[in-house]
Amino acid sequence: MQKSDKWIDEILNSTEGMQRAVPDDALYNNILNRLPVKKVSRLVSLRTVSSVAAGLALLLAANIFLIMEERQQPIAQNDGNIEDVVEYYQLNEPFNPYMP
Amino acid sequence: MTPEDLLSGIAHGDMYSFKQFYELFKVQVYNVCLSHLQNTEDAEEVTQDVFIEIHRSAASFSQKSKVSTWVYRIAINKSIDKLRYATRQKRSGDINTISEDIYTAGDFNHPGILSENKEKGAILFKAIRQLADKQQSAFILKFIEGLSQKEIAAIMDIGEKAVESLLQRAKTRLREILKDYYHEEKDL
Repeated sequence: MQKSDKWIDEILNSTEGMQRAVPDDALYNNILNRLPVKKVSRLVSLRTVSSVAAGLALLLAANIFLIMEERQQPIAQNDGNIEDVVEYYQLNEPFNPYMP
Repeated sequence: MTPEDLLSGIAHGDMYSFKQFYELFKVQVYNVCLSHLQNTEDAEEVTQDVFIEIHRSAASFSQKSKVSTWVYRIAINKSIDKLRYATRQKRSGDINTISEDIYTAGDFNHPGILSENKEKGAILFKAIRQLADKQQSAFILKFIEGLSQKEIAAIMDIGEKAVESLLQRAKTRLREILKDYYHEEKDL
């Protein structure tokens, strides 16, 4: 065997007994930092939309009901007031300034 | 838990499974990258790329191959991509964007090589760098990772005969390269 062949064999066999390399402990954190961050969903669930819509409808109905109530009450009161005034000043009676 | 279970967990966003999977394969991935790239910094960067790719594509893993085969394949592809990128940068003259070692293929001292073999190991890695991509991968998987020809065939997606042929050509080419080194050293 030539001297060069012996040297080449030694080079080729230099990995004998080789241990495996271990990566740095910080590598996992580096990977985590590079993972795409899960975006918080900006979509609102149907349940939330339904709840909000129901709430708004209820609020609207309550408002309409109160407005209707409000409108009816002053009219009744006004009617009462007018009647009182008519009665007080006896406006229903025929008006004749020459009659005592 | 099996690697398949862990991959399924990763696909469902379970980070505990991802951590377990990392612990299971980190040494395998890192060593394949290190043997190809011959630079710890680049090997760590590509190892990160490999696990990010695993996290991204866990759901698309087909049960046709073993998980370790799939992981090896990703690691080799990413390493070769990095080497090709470095070669392109070298050709275009933009050496600022790549690390010095990957560009010059300088003396690489693999941290796992026994201290008495350090010098010879560095010569071997320098010679490995001169092999064609496929010969390089086949040689690393066989003689550094210690895999069988059957496993190498599955990883490289070629037949066992093709692996045998690649290994034969790699060894022949390495002997030629080393013979040149021997004469160069003798001439000095």
